[in-house]
Amino acid sequence: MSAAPQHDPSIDPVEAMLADRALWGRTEAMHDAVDAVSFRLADHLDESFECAAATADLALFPPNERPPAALAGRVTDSLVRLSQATAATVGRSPMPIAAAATDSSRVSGPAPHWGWYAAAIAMVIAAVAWWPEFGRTPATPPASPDFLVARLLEEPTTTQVQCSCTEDPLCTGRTVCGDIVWNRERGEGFLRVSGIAPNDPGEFQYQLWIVDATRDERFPVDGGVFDMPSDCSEVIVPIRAAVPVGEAALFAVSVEKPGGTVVSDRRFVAVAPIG
Amino acid sequence: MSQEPSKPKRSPQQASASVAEGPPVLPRIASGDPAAINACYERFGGLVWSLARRFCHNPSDAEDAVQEIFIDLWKSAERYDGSIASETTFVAMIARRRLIDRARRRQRRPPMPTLPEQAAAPSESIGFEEMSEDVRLAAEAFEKLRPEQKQVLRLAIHHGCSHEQIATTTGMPLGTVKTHARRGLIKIREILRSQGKLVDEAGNRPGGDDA
Repeated sequence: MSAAPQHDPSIDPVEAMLADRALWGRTEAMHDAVDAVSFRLADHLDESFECAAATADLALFPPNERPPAALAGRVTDSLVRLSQATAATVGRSPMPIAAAATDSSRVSGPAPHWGWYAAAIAMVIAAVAWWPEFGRTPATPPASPDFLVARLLEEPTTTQVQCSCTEDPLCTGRTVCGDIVWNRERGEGFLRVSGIAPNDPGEFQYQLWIVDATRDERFPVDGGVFDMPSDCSEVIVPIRAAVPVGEAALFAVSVEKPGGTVVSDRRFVAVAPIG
Repeated sequence: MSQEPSKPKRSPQQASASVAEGPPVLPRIASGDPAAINACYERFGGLVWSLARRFCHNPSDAEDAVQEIFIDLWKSAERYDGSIASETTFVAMIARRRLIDRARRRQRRPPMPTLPEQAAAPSESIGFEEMSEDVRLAAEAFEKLRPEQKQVLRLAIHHGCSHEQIATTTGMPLGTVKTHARRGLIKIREILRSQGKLVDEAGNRPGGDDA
């Protein structure tokens, strides 16, 4: 289906495009016709056409069906999980798994220290090993991040893509390198990055985003918050998508307020497109 | 430190089909209030489901869509501004955006509907009297459109029919379909704005006062 805006001189071209989008969605022709950045700007500035279409929809075809009873539990459960994931992200350890150097210099901040995190994992493993129902295998220490990345790379459905830095001032004069290791089937992966500017977690934090091709591109999936300690040469961050990712198209690292955000201002410092 | 919001203790009641405006729920969603989850579903479950059933081929697809829409809503709730539109309109906008995107992705349109002229009359709608003011204004605005604009917009809005499908159904040239649809929607938007609804590009409300 083609939706390339036709030029009716009596209709402003931008309004025509926004009206088309409100009725028929964004099309490939729109992508070709308008620079993506400026159109995204227009999106944020003016949702009034979509609002107008929505009100007309409600006026013409008022809701008249009741959802199946079982759907309530499914929807609310997914929202509860999302709210928990969001809360966990906001308070997440700024050093999710490991860094090349230890994180011992940072003793305060909005999130727990990695040492506590590791200790908690060890305690859980020990408890599971002790519990009669589950204690059939001896407790083992947590695998190293390098091991976990290497193990993921052995799987045939795992993709590895290089990160590139943007022109953000935080990257100026720095040699940023890194990669994303992502397994699409498992919806799991890691970001390995070095060279980005160290951050004060009380000032700002880095946040990983996943652009999911199966979702609206304006709402990338939150992949977690992390820090770059000044005494680390590299961080390995497990990607914890807040919601299931259908088809990862792009990974991006943004600079956000402490604790992260739900809607990013899109100040990106690194990006890694898939394919 | 990780915070674990408690799970809602009571089960959500069956969502109603009609939507009545009540105490705002989206700000509570935006603030992460877990108790607002049930309230949100109870209030908007019927609305979202009704929209999803129109756009989706089968109940299973509709259920998936409803779940995605409520996740979108969770993420978008902080953008809601009660001075611009009602919560009902905002939820319908988020839902339609997702449903249109899903339809486009799958490249499979529902079968062409017949033209339900009489069914489109707002007076026959269930629960219409409970709908928000902006929806009533939209209904009035729609009645002011030219017949061709009404015909095209009904087809576009009801099932998200493509330009081509509408052209085939109505016998109008493709460009005429687009022109009628655009002019009709622009007209509805203008009327809503003249009544102080929606927001313009500069963030101002041309209608002025907060009715």
